[in-house]
Amino acid sequence: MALHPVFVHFHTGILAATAALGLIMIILRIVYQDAIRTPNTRAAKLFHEFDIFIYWGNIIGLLGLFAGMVTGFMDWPMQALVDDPYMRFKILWSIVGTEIFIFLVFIRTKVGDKIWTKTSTYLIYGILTVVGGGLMIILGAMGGIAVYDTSILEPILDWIGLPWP
Amino acid sequence: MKRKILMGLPIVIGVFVLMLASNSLVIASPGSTSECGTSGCHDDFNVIDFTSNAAGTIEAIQGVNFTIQYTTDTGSDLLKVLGGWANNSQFLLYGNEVADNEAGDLNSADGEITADVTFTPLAPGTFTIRAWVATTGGIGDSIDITVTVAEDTDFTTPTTTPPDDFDPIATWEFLMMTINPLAGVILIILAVVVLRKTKE
Repeated sequence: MALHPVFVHFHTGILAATAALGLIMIILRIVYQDAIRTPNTRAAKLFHEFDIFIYWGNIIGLLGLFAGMVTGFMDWPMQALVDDPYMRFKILWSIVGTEIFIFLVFIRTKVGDKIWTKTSTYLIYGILTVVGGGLMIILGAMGGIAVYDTSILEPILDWIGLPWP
Repeated sequence: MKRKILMGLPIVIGVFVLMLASNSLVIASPGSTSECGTSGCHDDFNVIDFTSNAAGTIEAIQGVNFTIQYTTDTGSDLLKVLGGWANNSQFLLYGNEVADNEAGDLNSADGEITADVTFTPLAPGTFTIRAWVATTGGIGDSIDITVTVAEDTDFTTPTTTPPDDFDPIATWEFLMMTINPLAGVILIILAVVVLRKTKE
């Protein structure tokens, strides 16, 4: 029985959601800066909830990424993966994605929600959350193409010229 | 708190069991990969009504496209004309993989596929084009069409893109050796920056 499909969908969905929330957080942080810093306001509470979701989403997503990579190598022989351009792309950027999510979880654990106080820190954290989640969406689409021969993102991937090489 | 966790545990286990069970249901017939008409292909019970608009042998010219319309019914799910079958590799193929009610299917009825597959003959000679269709139940059927291709002296075989000397696997190995460590170094630098900024 193929194990990889069991492990990939759940964390890809979570990381896609964290990417969307990361983008919303950056916008909220820019637009409602003062309200967010005022304790017990609705904006501050919402901001806090979103931050918690992103943090735990990234942790669960990271664990899922590890599981997805391990089961991927268990399900298919390495040579078959290397011969397929979609799989080559997935392997290369899954590792980069894992590095990004290790960074995000490490930084957020170390700094706490203070990560959102300074522009220089929240932009790095927020943008990398969006980039990491976006990467997962692209890799998920490529998995879909490899299995079902099609994906809703296929026109965009074709336009960008992915997968490469 | 403990009680809440214990109450939630069966739900979590149930979800995982459901995921594992549903995964076991989506296995097709991975062993049936051989060319149609041989062992290891899907079973052919002559159930599917699979036809084409080709009447006898097709006369074609090297490099000049021609189109064959395939029609199928009885729960058909997927129609393919792949390069590895019969002499299909002697042609460039367009619209050669059509799923029921997906792009390329000209028949909107469920379980019926009508598809126009376009062929570009690459070399002169007499060839057999083989098309295949399968249902979701693992039943398949195939039809062969003979094509006689006349030579075109002005015809040149299209060059492949990327060029032949491009080695994608070597390029990928190079990227694996450079991008992954580089991303790691950049992220470590960013981590140091963030930690310093939060202490200020």
